[in-house]
Amino acid sequence: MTAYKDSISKFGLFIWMIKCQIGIALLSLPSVIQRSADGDSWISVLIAGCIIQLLLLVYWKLYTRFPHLILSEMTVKLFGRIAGKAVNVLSAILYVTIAGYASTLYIRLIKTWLLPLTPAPVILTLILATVVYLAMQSVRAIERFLVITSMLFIVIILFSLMAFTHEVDLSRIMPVGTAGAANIWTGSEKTFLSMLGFEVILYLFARVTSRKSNLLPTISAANLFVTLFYTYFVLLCLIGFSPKALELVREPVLFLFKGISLQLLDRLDLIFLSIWIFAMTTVFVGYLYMAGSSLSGGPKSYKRTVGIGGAVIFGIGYGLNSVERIELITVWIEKVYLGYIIGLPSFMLLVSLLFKKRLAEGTT
Amino acid sequence: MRRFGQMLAAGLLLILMTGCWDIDRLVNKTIVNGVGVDAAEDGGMRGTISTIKLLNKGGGQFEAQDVVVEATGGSISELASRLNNVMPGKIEGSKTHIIIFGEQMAKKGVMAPLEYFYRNPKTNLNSSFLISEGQASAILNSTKMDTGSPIAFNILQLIEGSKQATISPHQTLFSLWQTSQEEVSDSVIPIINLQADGELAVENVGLMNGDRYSGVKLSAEQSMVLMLMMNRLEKAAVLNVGTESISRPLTFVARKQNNDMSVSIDKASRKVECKLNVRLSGEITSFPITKEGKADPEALKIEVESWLEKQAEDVVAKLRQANSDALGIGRKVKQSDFAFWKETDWKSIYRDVKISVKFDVRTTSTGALY
Repeated sequence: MTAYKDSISKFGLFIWMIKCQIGIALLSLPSVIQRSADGDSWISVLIAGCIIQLLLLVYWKLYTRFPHLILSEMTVKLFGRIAGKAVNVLSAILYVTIAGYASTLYIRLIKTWLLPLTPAPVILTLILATVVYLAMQSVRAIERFLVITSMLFIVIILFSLMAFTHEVDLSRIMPVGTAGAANIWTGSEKTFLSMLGFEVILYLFARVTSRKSNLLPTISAANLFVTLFYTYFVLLCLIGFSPKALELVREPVLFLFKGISLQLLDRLDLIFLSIWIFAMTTVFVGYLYMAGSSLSGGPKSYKRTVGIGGAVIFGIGYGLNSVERIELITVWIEKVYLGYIIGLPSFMLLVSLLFKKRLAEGTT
Repeated sequence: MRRFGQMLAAGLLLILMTGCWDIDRLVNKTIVNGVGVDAAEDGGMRGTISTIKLLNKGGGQFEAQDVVVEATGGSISELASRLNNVMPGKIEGSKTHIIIFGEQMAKKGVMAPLEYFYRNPKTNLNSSFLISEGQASAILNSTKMDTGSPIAFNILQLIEGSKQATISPHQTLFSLWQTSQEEVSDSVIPIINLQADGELAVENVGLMNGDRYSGVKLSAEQSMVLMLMMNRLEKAAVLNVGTESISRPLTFVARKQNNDMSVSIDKASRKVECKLNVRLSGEITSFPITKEGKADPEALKIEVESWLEKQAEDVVAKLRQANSDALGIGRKVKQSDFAFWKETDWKSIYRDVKISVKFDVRTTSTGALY
């Protein structure tokens, strides 16, 4: 039934999910939440993790209704051929737009920290060529790449321990809860936006080989990992920076490493960033995979769609890069996308629950 | 053929696309290792940089020679471009090891001039920060300390030495920034001075009030006592207690410490009281043998304690004078009563905080003699 006969393991699903969630946004997240939630930012992250867990329950419930289908096939099944296809086209457009936006952030980061003079199109080409090539492979091949690069998380965590050579001051997060519930909630919203990427599981559930076993623990474990990973880095920045300084810094996670010097290594921030590039790049693979799966019927058309998707990301990334006040546009992109990933699966679950009988016939 | 085409494309990409635009040749650069900033008479600033010139002595031997250049301007950025015009090669600040502010300049506030270093992703935030007695340019220009290595490295070793001796903290641009942005405590900066005989020394500290140097300096002993009060004991602190008479020297070396600070806030009268308990353990390394035969650890302990408390009193008086919360009492207040902290302008009541310091000394050894 699935267009691609490939399959991934349970562990593959776990890695896919965390690799799509941990990306460029983490670097700037601590200072973004600090502005609203202050010393209680870490609570915001935990709350965001809980909200995602709720959403994952919805996704999972939806999957148990259609265990052999990926999202783009479910839509056709639920809404009929024409409406379903229309939704799929819309989804693909959204994925590519979000990826384009992420690529703009990527360029800005690389230009600020690593290559100030290299033209944006060159950086974009270098990234997207790799990404498109990878996204054209089978899910299993992508999985293997992701598993290998996820080893780098160990390096990153080891690196982060060095931040404790600074004067860390636990009192900066004390007393707990002073920011107030409303501010912590605003912080959670912002965190939620940077933890996006878990929606990829809607396109992967049906591809997991061990169908019989329960996948809920796997995705919950992935969510737990991502939430703790984020919380850890936010806490690290909260105790490593003074609150006012944290607000001023654009990429606090990098900045923290900039102040560290070891006997043998200097400028840990640049080494950290070079490793982080992997994390940032694999996120694009996830979005291209989703866009490709949304539109294609077979392996050939999948490859073509991914190629076109790559070109569109290039266009959006380059276009947004020359916009002076990018926030004005992106705030809308984020809102629409947020509505999409919460709204569509919930709506679909509701429809499938209401018209239970008809769908049961369809899936067998 | 297709495979060949792919390989060719990959090879060309690798060769043509890597680092073309951002290439920076080392030979075209002047590596700055020390920066000095002074206040100029006209209200601007005078910057001094020290760079290294490598002299080939033949046989693969190189001698590093300091080159010190000065320029004036309104900001660090302007200084950098002026100096760029004077020096051969592009100035590269990412290897700056020390940044010295002249006393007068530091009194005007350090954050505004230093902002350049924080905004620029290329700079080294691990540079050590110092305040000089007198002009910073005089420090970088001093040639007395001729160890064969550049002056910036010599100064770096002086800082490290005084940190190991528990005289001053090692302030980097990063740590300085953190503290200046926070209201809960103030920084303590090592002071470098050019002595009459031309030698350089880092033997005491200056107190900051926010991002301004207050102008209040501590003596060498007071600096050490302040470090102990701040819980910054490094490997050892050598306290020369009995220096009044030559016939009765008494030296206590603190090896371990354990501090305990508590604040009590009286909300009605808005009075804050701070109690600091410093417990030190260490050894007596010098004390003359008297007629009684051996040193009485109990009596010596009291002597060391009262000397420390006397010094601490002077330190507290200077902290008040500078309005500098080096002990971080504000942090403690914020933790214990957040509501009070929020409605209080800490710096306006800091001078009225009652600070009482108690030392508790334990002598674990008196050396090879009783």
